[in-house]
Amino acid sequence: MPGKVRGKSGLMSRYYEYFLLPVGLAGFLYLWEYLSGFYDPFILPSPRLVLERSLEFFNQPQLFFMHFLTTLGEAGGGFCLGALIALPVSYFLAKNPVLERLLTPYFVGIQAVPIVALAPLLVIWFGFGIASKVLVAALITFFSVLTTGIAGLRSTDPRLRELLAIMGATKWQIFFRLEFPSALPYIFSGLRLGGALAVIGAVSGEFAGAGKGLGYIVNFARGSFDTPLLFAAIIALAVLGIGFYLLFFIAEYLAMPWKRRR
Amino acid sequence: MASGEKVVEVIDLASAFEDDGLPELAGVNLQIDAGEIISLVGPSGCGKSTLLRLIAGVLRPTAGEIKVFGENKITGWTRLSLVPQDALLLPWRTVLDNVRLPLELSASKKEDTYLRAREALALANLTGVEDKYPHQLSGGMKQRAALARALVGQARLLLLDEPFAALDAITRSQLHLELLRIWERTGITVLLVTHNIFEAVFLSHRVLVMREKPGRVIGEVRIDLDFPRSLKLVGTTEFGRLVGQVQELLEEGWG
Repeated sequence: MPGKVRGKSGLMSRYYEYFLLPVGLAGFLYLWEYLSGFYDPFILPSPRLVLERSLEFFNQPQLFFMHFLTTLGEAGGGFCLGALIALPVSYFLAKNPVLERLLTPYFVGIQAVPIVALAPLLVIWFGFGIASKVLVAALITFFSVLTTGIAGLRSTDPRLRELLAIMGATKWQIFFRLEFPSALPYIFSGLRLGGALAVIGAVSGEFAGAGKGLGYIVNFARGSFDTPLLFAAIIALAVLGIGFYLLFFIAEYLAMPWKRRR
Repeated sequence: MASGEKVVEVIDLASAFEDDGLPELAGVNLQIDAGEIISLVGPSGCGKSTLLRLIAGVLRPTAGEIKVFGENKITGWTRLSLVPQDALLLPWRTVLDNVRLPLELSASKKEDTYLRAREALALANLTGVEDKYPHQLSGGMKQRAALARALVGQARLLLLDEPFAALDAITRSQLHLELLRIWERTGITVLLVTHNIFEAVFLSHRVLVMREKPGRVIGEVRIDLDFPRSLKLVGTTEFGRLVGQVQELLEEGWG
């Protein structure tokens, strides 16, 4: 998270950081290669084998792009849908504590059910196509953004609210100049969580029944005992997740300049 | 300095705690003339800050009357402004944008808000940090920024809610002198809530002493010390005598 104050001198820690990542990655790959020598490729394929299978997978662009973009589209679309609905709803619920208390048990109930158990139901309702996966991702994003959104909008310092009231601020001025910026760090943690969960949601939906997507590949690879392909799909999903993470990192940096590292 | 105009009139004021409805303030009477610097001192929990919030119009009294500039309801930063204890700057706004905020809310022209915010910062002796965020400032600088924000609308009544309480002694003395300098230049009416008796005597024309349960004003000490005042005043016997008078009144309140 940007904005943390560093204890040691900035130069020294940055110097370390440049080496930390590649050295760690090399160590990890070496350990993996070493361990894979003891096992059958079906249990643990070596990184080299996974790389070969990945390239094979990637060398069929129509296949790769279709599956990758399917999952990306499902997760991304569901995320946007869920977040866009969650933001106004969280404002509404933050302002209506009675309604919030009435609905909280249902929210907790839905969130308590593992999404992998809800996904088949949504597939039954909305079919094997993309729509059901988008809805799974939207559902999971909606709740993570909703809960942090409500907490964020409730986090406004009452003394600041009072100060703006003395200044003669209107309700909307208080929202845009005080409540919304106060809630931003909370909303972003909800969006980050929602982004990660949206990928899980889309893949869960694909597991429950689909003809394409990275989740389908995982299922297919498992069925055909193709562990290297399974690894390739896992790596593609990791890339997707890291992509989401970076997107939020940049968005947060742009949206909250006062939280930037000095 | 006093022109005789009543800036604040509090008549038989009473208020109750929000949670249990017990009386917090009862039978509070006070008057402040234009251009006066008045301090309210009292034990913590006597309702001094509540009284300030009542005068600012964010709380409603249960009985009695508050008139500010002769009116019962007053809104807008151009007549009455406040410096709170912890500066309360918006963390996502730069110093300049924080000072500009009150003007921005009243739909002033944008260029005008920048110009007047810079003037207010200069008046509060805080320049060169316009583009910094509040967390990058020291405690004293934050209070100067809050002071500039309070001055930006050219309000005629300045409410100070223990604005120097969290500062170190030297910074506090600097800000005391700064406040007196601003008062001399603007003739603004000041109501200061504090639990620091020395500060109250050093800055004020009159010190109003409060007692608790329920809170009310039990007396006042007139501070007939000449302006401009300097810090060496604190060492004089006259200053010590006035501090003693305030202490004595406070002690009576405990009895």
